[in-house]
Amino acid sequence: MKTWRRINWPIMPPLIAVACLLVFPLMIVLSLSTRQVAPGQVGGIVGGYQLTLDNYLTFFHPAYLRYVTDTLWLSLIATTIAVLAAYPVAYWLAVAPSSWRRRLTIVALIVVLYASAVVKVYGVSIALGPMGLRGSIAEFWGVGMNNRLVTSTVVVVGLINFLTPIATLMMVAPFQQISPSLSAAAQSLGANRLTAHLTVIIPLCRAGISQVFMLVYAASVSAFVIPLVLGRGQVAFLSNLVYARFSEVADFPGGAALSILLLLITLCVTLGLGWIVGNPAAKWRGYRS
Amino acid sequence: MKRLIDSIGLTLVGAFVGVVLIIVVAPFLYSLVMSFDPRLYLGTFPPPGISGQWYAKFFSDERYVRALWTSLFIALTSSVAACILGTLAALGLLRIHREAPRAALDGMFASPKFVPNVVIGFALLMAFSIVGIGAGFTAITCAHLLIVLPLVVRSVSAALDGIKPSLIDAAMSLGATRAQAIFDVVIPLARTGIAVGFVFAMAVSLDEVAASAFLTTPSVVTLPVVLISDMKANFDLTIAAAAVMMMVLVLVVVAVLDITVGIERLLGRGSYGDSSNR
Amino acid sequence: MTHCIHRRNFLAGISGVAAAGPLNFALADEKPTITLVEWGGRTRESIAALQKYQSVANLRWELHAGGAAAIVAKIRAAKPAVNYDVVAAWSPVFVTMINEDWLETVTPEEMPNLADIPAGLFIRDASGAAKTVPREINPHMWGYRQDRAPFEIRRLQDLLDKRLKGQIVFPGPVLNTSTQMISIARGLGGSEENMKPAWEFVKELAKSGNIGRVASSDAEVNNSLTSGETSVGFGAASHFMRIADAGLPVTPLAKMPADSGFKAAIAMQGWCILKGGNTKVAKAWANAMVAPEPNSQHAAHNGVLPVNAKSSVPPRIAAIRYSNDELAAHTYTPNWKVVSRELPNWTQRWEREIAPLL
Repeated sequence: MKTWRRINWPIMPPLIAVACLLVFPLMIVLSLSTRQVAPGQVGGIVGGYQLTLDNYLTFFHPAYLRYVTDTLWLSLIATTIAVLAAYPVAYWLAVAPSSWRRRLTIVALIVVLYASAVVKVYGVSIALGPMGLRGSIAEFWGVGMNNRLVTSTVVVVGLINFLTPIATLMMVAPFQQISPSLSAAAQSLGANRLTAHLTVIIPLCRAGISQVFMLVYAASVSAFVIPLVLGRGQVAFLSNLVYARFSEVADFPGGAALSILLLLITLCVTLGLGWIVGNPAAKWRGYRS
Repeated sequence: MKRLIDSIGLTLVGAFVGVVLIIVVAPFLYSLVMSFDPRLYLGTFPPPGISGQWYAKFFSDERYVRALWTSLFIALTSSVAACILGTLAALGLLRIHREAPRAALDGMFASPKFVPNVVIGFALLMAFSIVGIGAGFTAITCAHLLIVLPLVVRSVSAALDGIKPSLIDAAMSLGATRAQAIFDVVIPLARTGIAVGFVFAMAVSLDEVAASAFLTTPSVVTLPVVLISDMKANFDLTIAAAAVMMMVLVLVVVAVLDITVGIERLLGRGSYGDSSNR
Repeated sequence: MTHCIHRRNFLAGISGVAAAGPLNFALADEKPTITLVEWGGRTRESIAALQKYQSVANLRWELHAGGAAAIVAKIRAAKPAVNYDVVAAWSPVFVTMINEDWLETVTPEEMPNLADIPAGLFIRDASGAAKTVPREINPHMWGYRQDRAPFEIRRLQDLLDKRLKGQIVFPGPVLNTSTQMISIARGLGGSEENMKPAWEFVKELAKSGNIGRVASSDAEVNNSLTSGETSVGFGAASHFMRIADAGLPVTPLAKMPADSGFKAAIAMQGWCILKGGNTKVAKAWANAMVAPEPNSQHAAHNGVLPVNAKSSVPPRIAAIRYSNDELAAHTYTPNWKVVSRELPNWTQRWEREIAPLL
């Protein structure tokens, strides 16, 4: 009877689902990535399986490093800003008493979430285009209007636009588990609101916040439409390179190899970030049954 | 002094949040305004007049309307399935004590997020064709399930993280079985996480195009795919009209929810219970 | 009372069945259905409007949503089943499908209207058999907005002019399958096989900062030009027609002198018929579609040139219409086999050499 209880039942169904739906297809992608590309032919050499690592090696050219940096670094900036901005709003949503303002904010966030990504991106593209604020951004950085720095800024703004509603709604739940009386208790002991918040509340939610951070970062790294339209071809994410190979050029092995690389890189970086942000809080987790 | 620090801090935070909120809301307003653009090309903002042409185009074309129903159906199915599976996964993760296996499984559930949707679509197309199912409803729903699952798992995990395990012990000490303790105590407390996860799942599924493009058939097409197909070569603001309509739909659903259940109830109040004054 | 209701219901039921009877007969159309893969938007509307010219088949539609490779993946995945009968695509994709031996051979014996289409427009396999049904000619060329460009552009070297800073929307390597690069190569004395002059020129162009946007879709090129973000672009003639239709003064550089460096690429769009589908009906359908009258209508609607020699050419595309001499002087037909083979390399080269300079 005891062994029966020891088996982790809840995790079985989702595990099986992911194994079938993700792992099996990924195996296919992996095998495809090792095939020779025959240009003009679909998917590689027909008949005769030749294992090759060429598809991977092509991406070790130095120029591709820039795509990796763009993807990871710009996402980091956007995620940090989005999470920082979402934090106060989420906290307020979690602890404020019911009011029309609270309901309006919740509704507004949900509605913005459902707006089509493509349309929002065009909104940013026009607002921050040459007819819009692009010139001001260029002045701010002190460079020409077509400089990569300006384009990167526009991409980051687009990402923030996309990520903030996600971050806000996701962070409400961790805050709800904190008793509001903790902050009051700290203040009664002499702390001001800010210190009470920084020293008491944040450490308690650190695990939850780090989880949200990781998810938002992952969403940013895999963003596709935003760097495609706002990057103007100057700034491209790895997902754009993959798309070109799968959907335009029919270089399936190359696209497969790049996806595997993308998966590995971002998995490492995100988990690493999550460990940095969240691990010290592991001590607080305490006993789990 | 402390009051001063508090005021300065609050002002700074307020200003920062204000800027970001403008970034979030302005493009959305832009798309709202542009959906009424009378011009047949992307011109400068603001549009010179108001026209319902894009809305008329949307409703008059039965392809769009049929695709809308298809999208809604697929979104509901995949989101509900993702919520169930995601909650189970989060609960299961909670039970693992050792860091290494938990991180590994955590990563596994998060991994669909790191695979570009194009690849998911392509890989599932190949996998399903080997198995014999092929493209269509099942394939698209599975792809969407895979794509939204990480969101739900994260959302529920983040919610579960703050729940004291002693609550489960307390419930069991009062006579409940483990399962009852989980269902009657933990899940209601994690309600926010599950609700938010569901909202996200629906939003992502309704907007998903990269994977769905590989898995549609002449009889099963989702709305974003149809819109993108028309947009590929021509400029077409029907997508803006569709986006606004989607938002109106969501607004209606949320309003109905608010009147019946109370939207605040959905985003409950955690371990201190509901102190909303409805 | 009950009695009356029953009788009323009964009569209603009878009449319903009676009405459905002939209706059922009408619905049981003898026309077979073929599945067509087509481009969306205006093209779809145009093709749908052409259906009044044929009575051989009903159509089931699937629209291209991703790039051309997406349909190739779907066809491959469905093998050995064949889900599509007719696929609209263009030259490089056709070459891929010919290499995979997925296509039916089309002959004037089976499809009489093909005799009116110039032989050079067909894409053939290694043995010379025609595998595609052309339906329109859409030259790819440079063009600019007269009201926004700072000066009149006459030569290729003008693109490097400082006054055009940020004013050029340059298609990325996958858009138009790089005909923009090939056109530059050809204009500078090279070709698809020798792209060196093109790479050097584009590197200069990238360094000069004149490229305001690298577009990845036709819609981006259009939007960029109509919104005023840029004023000079490269694309299919039909797009320039569309911008002109919107009331914006645009000059397509279709017939520039030989030494200007501007050469237009002749791209043929059309259909191919997949083996293993409803080929007989599909061929009959395609044949009906390229008859003179529907071909003219299609060309007029889309701002392209018809392929049928007996078709009439609408006046508004007179600017891009080429006589035989003009064809030789101002245009070229790319070697699509080479293009198909080289495109992945060009994409990589762009990612490595040009993109960092932008």
